[in-house]
Amino acid sequence: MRRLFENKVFVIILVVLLLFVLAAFTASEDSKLSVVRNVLTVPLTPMQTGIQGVGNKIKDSINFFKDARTARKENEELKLQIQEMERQLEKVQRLQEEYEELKKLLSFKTQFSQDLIGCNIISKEAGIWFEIFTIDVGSRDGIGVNDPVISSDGLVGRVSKVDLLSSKVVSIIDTDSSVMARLSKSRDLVVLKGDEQLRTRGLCRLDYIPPDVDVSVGDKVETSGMSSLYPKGIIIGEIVEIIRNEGQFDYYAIVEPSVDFRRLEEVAVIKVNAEEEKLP
Amino acid sequence: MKKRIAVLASLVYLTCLVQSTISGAIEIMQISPNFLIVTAVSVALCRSDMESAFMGLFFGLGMDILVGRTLGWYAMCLFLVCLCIGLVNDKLYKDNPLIPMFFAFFSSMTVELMYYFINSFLKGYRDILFVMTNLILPESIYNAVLSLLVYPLVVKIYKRLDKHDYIHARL
Repeated sequence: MRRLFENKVFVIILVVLLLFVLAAFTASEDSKLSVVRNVLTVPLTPMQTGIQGVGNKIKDSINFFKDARTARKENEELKLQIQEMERQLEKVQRLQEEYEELKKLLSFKTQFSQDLIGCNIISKEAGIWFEIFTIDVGSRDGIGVNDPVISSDGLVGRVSKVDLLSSKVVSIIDTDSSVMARLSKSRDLVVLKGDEQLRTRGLCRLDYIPPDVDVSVGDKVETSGMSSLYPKGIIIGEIVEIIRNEGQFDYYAIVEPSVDFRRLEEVAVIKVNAEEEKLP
Repeated sequence: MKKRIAVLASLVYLTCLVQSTISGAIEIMQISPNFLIVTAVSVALCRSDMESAFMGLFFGLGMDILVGRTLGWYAMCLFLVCLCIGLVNDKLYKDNPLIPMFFAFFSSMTVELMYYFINSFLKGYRDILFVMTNLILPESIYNAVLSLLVYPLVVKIYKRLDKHDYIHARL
């Protein structure tokens, strides 16, 4: 037995086989064997948080003078905007009350209990293949796999792996991500997918557009609520280009997400799956 | 021996930390280097074949965990690549700075290409030309330049370890 383990070729083949077994067991996103990941992520998380915090401080202090210059101009613009918005807010509040009453009348079910949890992005770089980032909340905070992640601008992605203190988020521009979406104007169902070439520019593609639908550049895209993953009506982005292949019946569009993935710092997770587990 | 394991384990942890935080901050034209591959290659250049293979395995596992997908693919790629480097490194004149550059470049190419082939096995390789020229090649060049900094550091760490072990063995 001992002589067997001194044989190099045997050891190499054994290790490769074991790695295949490990890969087979961890291929699904919520596999039990993912606990192993905590060996690395638990000690790393506090240090990543610290370094990211210091990095943001440095970035802020570098940008301080540039910001001060733009701040004055922005201030005037914002004051005007606030006036406009206050007017709109009154209108919206009145509509909201009306809406609530009507909804009660129709006994509509709200699709998701919107239990939001805010978090910071502590690490972004994970090789060249994926658009995945790490956030500083994990299973300890009640996060589950497939929880939707949003920011103030719109949809960001979903949680793909959960560790004790941190979790991984797959953004919507990743090649493995696909979202059931809806064109805001015509209410048609489409599928939003990540693309290997487009993701490097922060864009994604819109597939399965029905041929009789009139789409144009500038149309908004939002989540449809058809899949159980994402709640209905979250803004995804805007169509920037429509590509029609000659001789082919269908065509696709390029969508620019309303979230700027390069400058994303804080996001929020909607706790959906954790809620379901509590129910009997 | 215990100290050796502790030092090497903290080397893996530190590299993972650097990869997950600093690597993103020093990206050039949206391409960031891969510290884990560079360090694994540097280790493989100055150790025996089996030791470098297993160090490659642990660096690869770290990369797998950081990426957050299936565990094991990066580990396998780096295990095999480091094994190959460990087999030939006796015959090299390692003071030449071109040697770590050369190996970092071609190892990055091999590892990332292997990973691409495994990872999009059933998706098809439609974008292979784009992937080669826009993702793998720039990263490999960046890694090669980075190896000029990382390789002397790794050599220094191993020299310290060997010296420490030698003194303790004499005592």
